[in-house]
Amino acid sequence: MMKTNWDSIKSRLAILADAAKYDASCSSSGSERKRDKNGMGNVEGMGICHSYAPDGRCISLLKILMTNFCIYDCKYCVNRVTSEVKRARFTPEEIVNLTLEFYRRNYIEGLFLSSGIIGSSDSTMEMLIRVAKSLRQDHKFNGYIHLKVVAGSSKELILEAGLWADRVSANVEMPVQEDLNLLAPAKTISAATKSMNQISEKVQETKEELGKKTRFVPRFAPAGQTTQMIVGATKSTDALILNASEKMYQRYSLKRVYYSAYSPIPDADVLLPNEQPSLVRENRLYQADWLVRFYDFKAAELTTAEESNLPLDIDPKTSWALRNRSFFPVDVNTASREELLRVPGLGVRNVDRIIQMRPYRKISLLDLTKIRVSLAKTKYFVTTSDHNPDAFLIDVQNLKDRLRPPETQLSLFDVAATARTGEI
Amino acid sequence: MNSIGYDLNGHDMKFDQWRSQARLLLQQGVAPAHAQWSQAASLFSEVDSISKPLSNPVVTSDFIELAQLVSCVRDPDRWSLLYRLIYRMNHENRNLLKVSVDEDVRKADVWAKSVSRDIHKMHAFVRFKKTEVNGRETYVAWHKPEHQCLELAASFFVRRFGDKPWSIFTPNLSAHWNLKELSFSKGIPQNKFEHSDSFDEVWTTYYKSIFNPARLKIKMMKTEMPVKYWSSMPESAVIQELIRETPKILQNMAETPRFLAKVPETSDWRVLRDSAKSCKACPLAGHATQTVFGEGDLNAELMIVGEQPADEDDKSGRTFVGPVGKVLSEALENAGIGRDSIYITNAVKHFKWEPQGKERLNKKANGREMQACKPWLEAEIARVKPKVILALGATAGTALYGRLVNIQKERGKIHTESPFAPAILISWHPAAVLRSASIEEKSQRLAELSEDIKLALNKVPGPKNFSNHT
Ligand code: SF4
Ligand code: SF4
Repeated sequence: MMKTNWDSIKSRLAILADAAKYDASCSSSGSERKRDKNGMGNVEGMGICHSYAPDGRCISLLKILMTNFCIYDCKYCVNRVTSEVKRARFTPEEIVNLTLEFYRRNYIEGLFLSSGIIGSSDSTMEMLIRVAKSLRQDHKFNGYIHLKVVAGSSKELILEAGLWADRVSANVEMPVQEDLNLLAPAKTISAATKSMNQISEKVQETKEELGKKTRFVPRFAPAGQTTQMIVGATKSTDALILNASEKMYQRYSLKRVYYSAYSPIPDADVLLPNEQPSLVRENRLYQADWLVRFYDFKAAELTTAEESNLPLDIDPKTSWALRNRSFFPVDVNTASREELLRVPGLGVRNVDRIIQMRPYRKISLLDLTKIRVSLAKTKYFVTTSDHNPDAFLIDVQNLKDRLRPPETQLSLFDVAATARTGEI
Repeated sequence: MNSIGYDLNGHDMKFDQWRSQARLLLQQGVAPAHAQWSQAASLFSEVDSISKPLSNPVVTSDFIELAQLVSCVRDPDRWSLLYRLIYRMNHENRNLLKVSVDEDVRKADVWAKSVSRDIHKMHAFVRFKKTEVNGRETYVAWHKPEHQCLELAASFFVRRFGDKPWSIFTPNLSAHWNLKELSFSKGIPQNKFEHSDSFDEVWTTYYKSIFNPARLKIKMMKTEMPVKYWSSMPESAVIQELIRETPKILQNMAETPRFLAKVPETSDWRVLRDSAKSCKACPLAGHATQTVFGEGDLNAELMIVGEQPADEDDKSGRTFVGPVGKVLSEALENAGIGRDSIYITNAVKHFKWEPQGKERLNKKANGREMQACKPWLEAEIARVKPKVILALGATAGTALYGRLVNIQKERGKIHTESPFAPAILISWHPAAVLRSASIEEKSQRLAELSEDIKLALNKVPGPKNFSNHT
């Protein structure tokens, strides 16, 4: 093998990792692979965060672009053709090498590879596929691989990508076409959703085939697909964003929508805000998204016609509860799971614990604290086996003030934690 | 009187030993209060209140799972807690573990959680260094877990890295994989671990670059990656530096100049043109003679967008005059249309140049200048509402297609997915015709430009058929 020039690799790595960091996705979960007897690497369900950057974000994968040259001019993107950043490029072989060296030292769970578009979409996508294929075939690497669909790639290539990768994903970037027209006139929502549809159909088909057990079926993107929306680069409201997500969850069985608060980039386009991103808004969107996926809420319940953005000072579930006070109080000893899930302060885990315990014990307020429910919120919305005077406060006018967390509690720390877990 | 004379050191006891002991005690009906598991103390005190002996005590799999984790905690009370739990599960409530609010269950849960987290963090934070042992590529790491969990954690590394030999050293215990079996030996202190790997630098380079300074959240980082693990992680060396540099980076980003032309909200073309005359939104205005605005038929169905004014345009204030303009006129004539019946403009409205001797040499506007000037073009498009736009050259192409367009490949194709007009086409800029390398190339490009104009005219739909613009 040729001797690698690590200095050159390092300087290009700095550019190509920097260029990739605005993609919020980092998850390496949701797939299973056993190690090949002649290689290294496996995937065991929950991905591992191997490090954390000072921005509090998990580092789980080697997340890089193959190249940050790009012929597109998406205004929100640091790699757009009109941006004056330094450009670099890796060969597929260099990426393969880097992935193996990183993985072997236990730095990462695998690779997340994306690229600026050079030449045509398909020729770029082909090179990404080459990396994944070489890792799997030449090196018997069974770690995690996430390939980004280069905008406008053909169906054949998307279907091939899924053969090697655990996850294939296409970014919609914006909730509505008007936003794209403004910031990325070469892109369409329909092109992204077309790719998503191709992926979800193939995932579904593979599942059905596997179920029949009649013949060997090659796996296809076992960790499914995700997408990303940039928030705060345009005026689109949370209602629009959540509505777009809900639709995509339903139609393309997405594992996750990532919301990425637009954050200033070097040599930013003049159309974009220069301020620090609203991480609180990003967090509220993650909470709302979580409510839709795991708490049986409809996106439309979370905002109102008068206020089409989620409130920043209070979480979306509490906000819903305040608008729907007649739903409460809920009796923790008799209520259904669905009802319990609507109680502010009760997370999925606690609801399940309560339901598990109920046959053996009448649940009191004290019991709730023992399973670490924070009563500060919950006490106004439940009745328990003992007397709960606060449940009578449900109709008081200033309940919102009582529920609003003190300023300091909305620290960036909480924000980041919920962004990850969505637990409210 | 219980007579199992067994001298077990509570600290060093292994889970399996505890398990067989616990089984014996349950079978003999020894109550938790009478079983002592602590270090050095005699194991069992005199037993006078023996519960019902159980010939076949029940041990559920969820208990085993929990107990294995709890057994890794360094607290000497762990064994008696575990016995109390299993005893109560046998005598009181088989489903005791489901009662999360029970004091014993809660304590065991807290410990188990802490150990699983520690195991998880070991899987995450072990950093192997490449080395050679007896001529064989081997990977070694030193890591300090909080609990005694190396044995539980090690199998993960076999499953993942079973194809190469490795060792993981911790202060109490070390694990070794030789491709066949996992073995354990004494631990070593960190200062006895003397391996280094120059590849660590590649990793820290990555770590530095993946960090987004606009989202600094140190507390979050420290919660997920507690400082106690840092000493064996190469990236921890650069964390302070990254945090220190953050404000500077943010300031630099905020201070990068950004320009945008301010366009009056009007559809009155004269007002637009006159305001553009005084535009100084970007630095180009300072070096040029005057703004060169678009001109032509304000109801034209075809709009032609060039790149930016040339030297002669700058002096005269009109677009496409001079040699470049002549080429365009020729092409228009070939296509059979006069200048008067179309609208002609540029993507950038001021001449950009650099001196070369006495000449003013045309220089391409950069991305920021293009963007600054775009509102003027957008206002012209909104006013004229052309049905077809023909972009001439790459700069105009980028402005209208939202990406770099390969003229050679894309000329002759109609682009219909544009927010600007129902149909967009691209062709050679007349300046590119002039710059051709040979006479043949020149006449070919001129012919192609003429053809493209014809094609554009063809694409002008029938009268007022403007409904499918999305
Ligand atoms: S296509 Fe992708 S890489 Fe290129 S500018 Fe758009 S977002 Fe950036
Ligand atoms: S080039 Fe455009 S934006 Fe810049 S000063 Fe001239 S008219 Fe204004």
